[in-house]
Amino acid sequence: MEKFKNLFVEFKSIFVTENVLEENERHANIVTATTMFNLFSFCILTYLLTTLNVFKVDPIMMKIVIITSMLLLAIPALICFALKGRGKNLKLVLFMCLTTMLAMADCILKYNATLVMVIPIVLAARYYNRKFTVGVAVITAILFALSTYLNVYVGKQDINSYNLIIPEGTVFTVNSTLRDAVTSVQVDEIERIKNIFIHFFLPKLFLYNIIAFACIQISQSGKKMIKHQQEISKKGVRIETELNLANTIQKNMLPSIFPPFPEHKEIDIYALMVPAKEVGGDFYDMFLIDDNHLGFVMADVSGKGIPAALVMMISKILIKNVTNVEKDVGNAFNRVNNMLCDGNKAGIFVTAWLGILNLETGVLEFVNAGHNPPLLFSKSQKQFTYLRTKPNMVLAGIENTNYQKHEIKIEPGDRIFLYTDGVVEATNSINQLYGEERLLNFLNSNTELNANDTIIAVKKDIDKFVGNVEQFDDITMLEVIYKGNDLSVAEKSFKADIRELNNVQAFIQHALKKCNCDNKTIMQMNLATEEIFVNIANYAYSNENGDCNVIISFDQDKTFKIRFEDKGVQFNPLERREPDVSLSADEREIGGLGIFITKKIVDNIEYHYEGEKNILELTKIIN
Amino acid sequence: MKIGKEQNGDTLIISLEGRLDTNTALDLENEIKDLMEIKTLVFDLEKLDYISSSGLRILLSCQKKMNIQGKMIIRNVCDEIKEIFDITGFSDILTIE
Repeated sequence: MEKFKNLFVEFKSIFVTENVLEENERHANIVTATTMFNLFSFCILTYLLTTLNVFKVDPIMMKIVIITSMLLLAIPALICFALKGRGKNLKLVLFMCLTTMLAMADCILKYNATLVMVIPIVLAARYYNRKFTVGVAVITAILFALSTYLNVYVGKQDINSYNLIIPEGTVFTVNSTLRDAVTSVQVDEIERIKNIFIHFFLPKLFLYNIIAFACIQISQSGKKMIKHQQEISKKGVRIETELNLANTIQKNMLPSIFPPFPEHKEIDIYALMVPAKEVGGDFYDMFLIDDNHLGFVMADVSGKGIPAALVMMISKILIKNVTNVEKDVGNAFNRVNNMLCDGNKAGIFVTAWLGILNLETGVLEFVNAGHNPPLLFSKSQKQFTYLRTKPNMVLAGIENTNYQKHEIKIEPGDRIFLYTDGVVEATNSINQLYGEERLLNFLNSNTELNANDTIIAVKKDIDKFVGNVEQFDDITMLEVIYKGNDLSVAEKSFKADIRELNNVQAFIQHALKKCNCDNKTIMQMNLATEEIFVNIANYAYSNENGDCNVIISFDQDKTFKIRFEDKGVQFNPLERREPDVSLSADEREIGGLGIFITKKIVDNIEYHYEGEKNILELTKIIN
Repeated sequence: MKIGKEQNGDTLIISLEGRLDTNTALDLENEIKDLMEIKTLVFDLEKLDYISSSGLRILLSCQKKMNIQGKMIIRNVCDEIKEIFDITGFSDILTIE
């Protein structure tokens, strides 16, 4: 049953491979074989009719012809089905047998089988192969000429062929049938044959040619159409390959190595761009104008795809180069704007925000060309707020726009968070927007993370909010954390294993010595480190495969901080019940001492769970 | 950490040199497994300059044991370690000379 159904698949002409013409030939072979099989069934019927003497032809000859026909039809057809239409010369075999069989049938039953001449050529058109169609047309014509000739001697005679050649005055006596009476008259056979060819075969041949011509046209246009389709799809593939290449070029253009300026410990900076299509229109940039000045940019080109990507490349290069020369954000945007307006026929514009931060003083100058307001984190107020200023016109909008420079002073610990539309306008399945408020709230509940972790966490939050909906716009974010000067920061990752304890303590001791710390404090900090680290090593990870990130910082307030981060099980060690130190030896419990000791010897201890990390920070004031 | 053991009859003197932390605590535990015959256990901490909660745990369990069998004495404690004993209330539990 399945095999039978599969045959119908062939009829439906469903193409699965790239070699369409070859698949088409297989389908066409199946059609031809099926036609032959139908003729085979027709032969069976004819056989039955012959036994009932319906045909006025010698029944023995009929039967021979029918049997031969059935063989000529069934055998190639079955072979074709078995091969599923595959085979280089299969069609030749099929058509030779078919045409021969039809010629035989035409020969014997010329009177009844008039239409059969067109069957091969119509089937051949299906192959969309001009040469083959022409070949079939010619061979069919030849075979039918032959069968017309042979029909004179065998098979049913058409009494019309006696017309014009029976002499005037001949008298008939109809004893049985008119045909018998007419055919018994003596005539010049040559004349009769001539008569047949001129008056019967030639007109048929003429009409046949017209049909053949139409079929050849079909075969030709079919093939042209297939070839054209292949061209179009090849072009599509080429365009896709080029788009992917363009994506790579674009990605490489945006700074992606972090930290970008490792020697500048005053800043922690990270950025991320996730395009909606292969190529995007958003970009960010960060560059050192000189050793004391950091320039950073967030921008969004209108539109998407290749046009936006091209403008994005130009804009990024212009902004960086002009800012490096002008060293003033207002002048920089004035010039960049005019350059972008020049020759901007496509009406593409760019929203952009540019800031220059003085790393020594914390003075931030910035300009906003129609872009989303950034978020500013104030360490003293411990929260983010939107830094709103009256935005100027977008870049590449109108020539000679005057861009207004703004200035604020930021303190060590403060942060700037920049983003594009793709963040606040991220939409979920019920058409809600992520929005400014959600962004603000999320940032305010994750103020302990570094720039990298913050941005990753925001992206995860956006993904969670959006769910399965396809990303509509490029999502881009950049964060700068200003740590200020006179700051020593060191960060190292250790395997969360108690055998690493000595290495962790050595790392901390080294930093403490650099801060001219006294021995007693060193010993205390070593102890605190052991208690915290051993806890993490023993309990954070269930399968012993985890890291503990240790970050040391020492700022000008003589505050020494050690921060332990791990990605293990969420656990706040500060929540543990403190041991009762007034109990006697017998009453004392063994556990809980470590954290207790730590709390007593450091000046401040804080725990946060953010970005799927346990963060424990110890603070000690060093004299 | 170096562990010195000196036994005089039913008195055992254990002197520790270096640091008693999570890693070295295991060594100490192995050394003092068998305290069956001991009536007086003395810890000489003159050369010990660091102790963490793992060390305290061992001292506490020894103290509990010796409270039944006899007595335990801690000697020559440096200032930093004495401070730890004070913070944790161990100064009241241990006999410090």
